[in-house]
Amino acid sequence: MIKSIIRTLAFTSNWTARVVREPSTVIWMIGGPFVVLFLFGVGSIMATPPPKTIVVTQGQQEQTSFQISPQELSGYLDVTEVTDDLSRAMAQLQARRVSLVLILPDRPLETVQNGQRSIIKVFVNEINPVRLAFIRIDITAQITRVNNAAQRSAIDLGKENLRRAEEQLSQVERILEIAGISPQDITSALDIIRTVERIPTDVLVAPFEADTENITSQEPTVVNYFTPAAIALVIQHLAVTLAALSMVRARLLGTFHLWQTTPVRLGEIVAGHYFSYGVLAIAVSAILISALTWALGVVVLGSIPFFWISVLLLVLASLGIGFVISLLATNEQTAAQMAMIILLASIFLGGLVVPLEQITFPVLAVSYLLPATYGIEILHSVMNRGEPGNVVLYIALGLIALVGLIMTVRLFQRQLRPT
Amino acid sequence: MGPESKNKIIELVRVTKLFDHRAVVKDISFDVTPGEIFGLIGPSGSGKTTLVLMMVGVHTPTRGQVSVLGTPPTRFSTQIRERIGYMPQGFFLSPTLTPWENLSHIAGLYGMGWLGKRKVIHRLLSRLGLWDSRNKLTRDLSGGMMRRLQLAAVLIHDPELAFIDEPMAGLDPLLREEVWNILNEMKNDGKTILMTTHSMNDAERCNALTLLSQGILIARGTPGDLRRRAFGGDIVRLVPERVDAEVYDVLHRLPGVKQMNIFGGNDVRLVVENAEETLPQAIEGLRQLGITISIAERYQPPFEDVFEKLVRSD
Repeated sequence: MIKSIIRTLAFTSNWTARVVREPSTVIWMIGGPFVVLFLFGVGSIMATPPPKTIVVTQGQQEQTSFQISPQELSGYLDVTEVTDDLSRAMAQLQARRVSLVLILPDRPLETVQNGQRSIIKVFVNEINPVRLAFIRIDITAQITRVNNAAQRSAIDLGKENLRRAEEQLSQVERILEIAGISPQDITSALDIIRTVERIPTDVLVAPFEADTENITSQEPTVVNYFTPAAIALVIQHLAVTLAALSMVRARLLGTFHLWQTTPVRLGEIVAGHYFSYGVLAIAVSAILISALTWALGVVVLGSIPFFWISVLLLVLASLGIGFVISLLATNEQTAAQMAMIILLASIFLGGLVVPLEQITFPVLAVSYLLPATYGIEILHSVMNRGEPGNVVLYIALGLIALVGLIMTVRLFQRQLRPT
Repeated sequence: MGPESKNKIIELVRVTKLFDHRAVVKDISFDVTPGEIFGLIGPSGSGKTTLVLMMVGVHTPTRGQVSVLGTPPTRFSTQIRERIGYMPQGFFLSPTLTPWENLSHIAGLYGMGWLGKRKVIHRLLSRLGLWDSRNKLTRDLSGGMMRRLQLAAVLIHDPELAFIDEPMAGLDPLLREEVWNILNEMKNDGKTILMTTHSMNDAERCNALTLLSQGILIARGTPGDLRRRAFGGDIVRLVPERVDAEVYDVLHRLPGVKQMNIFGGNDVRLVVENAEETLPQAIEGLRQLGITISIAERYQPPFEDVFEKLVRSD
């Protein structure tokens, strides 16, 4: 029994010694996730902000107490502008400077008096199904508020009409008493009563209704929206991990001595590694996107060349980070841990869990150091919107790739230099 | 380095290497001429590998000068590297590749094209007894096979000068003989080999030796030179039918005899100036006394003894 305990504890002492020898592994294991979650906690706003909205008052002439004022549309919506220029408002929506364009109905009272709900047309431009659902909730809540206001107006109006009808009927009653009849007053009073009777109860309860239309090319679904992000994260993680482990392994194996003594040049070593891992990562991406297209029906709405340009830049930027990790890490565990931290940071801070608009500076700066942040953004544009995306994103991704390459060359140079 | 260095493929002049202010090799000087098998011998930790790493350009000397093929190793051009091969002591090939794939990769590093390397890989794998294992994963090979594969990797580009760190480690006597045949073939082709070893049997087969101990050069020369230096001369062994005062007197009076030791009653070892001269004289002297001799030879003491004597005397 005692021998069994001793044998079991032999593993404990072995691993304890290893951990003590390599404190960097433990630091990365504990400190890395903590830092990522800390940044996520302090830098992200979990409450969804009200969608920015332009209110269009096109063709609205009627000025009655039943009329919707733009002020009534605040609360669940963030009204940034009230205009009568629909085309300009739609251009703003197309450029994603606002989330909604809301068109107020023309002559709502007349529509309601005709027994129909007055339609508030709403345009959105959203590919994220989760965010679209939130926007729909905001619109519904806002319309409920508008309806409540309309109900108050309608009740006030009804009370007034009933008071007038009561007066008219009182007169009729008095006239009847003195045997004199006024047909015009009776007709008028009956008209008012009939008008109110004609309006269906549903319309009276909710005279306004939103008709929301998403102007994106593709109806957002969870699969369509999360596929580009998943592709970006998989490509980044694959490239970072492959590169991160490669050099550590080579150094531990003594391959660095081989490179130092053979005619192979520094540039050839770096180019050879970038090329081989790059081809592998791109091949995996091709298989992944083919499988997703075949199995889940995911489509790339935009240009295929832009898709591959973004994948290539993402691979190069990720390989650069991986090689830097590889040349800095002292062992394979640390390298693997650092690669995992990059993945974790990309999931939490790359715009997948929380949109980038809900991440505050300076944590946002960390987001923009991660290739996946740009990859997710570009692939969303290319795959979900059918647009190439902002050129700045491509340039930024290219810059990360360039900085990674320069650092890789410098670190390699230092490690291959005779000691 | 002087004009005489033209005939030296490797030249070390007063080389010292410090690691963390501790001298790993101290004030070492030697040179290697083309076409020889040069052995760096010494126990573990004597500085052999550090010297090799300085000669291949991995380490720089803290003091002194190293010249290989007329150039300091830290300034090797691609062309010079193509003329050099280096086999480290540890295993440096990829365990998850097959022997063929590993050799193909190394050949690629030397710029060998697909067609050119195919033939060479085939020849080397066959020669080193690895042909049947060419498609196995390297990690599944035995220790001796891995060592042979490393040797094949060094020889793949037919280097003019090969640095081989402990080439015989883990090899059985038959394979050791095969490797020696390859090394001798290279030597006969005019190639130069610098090898490190702590095996005295292997050291004895080198053309020239440098003996190191604790980072200090103890002795240099051919195996014969070192043996003579260790024992103070050649050794002649005689086993006459008896050793009495008369025999002792005859042998002791022979010219060139420096020392005489008798083991087991009649096993006589004479330390002499020149065994070639003394041996016939000893046989003749004993024959004149009518003594029958069962063994009369120039005795080669085991090199372990040579090594031990030289290290102890230093």
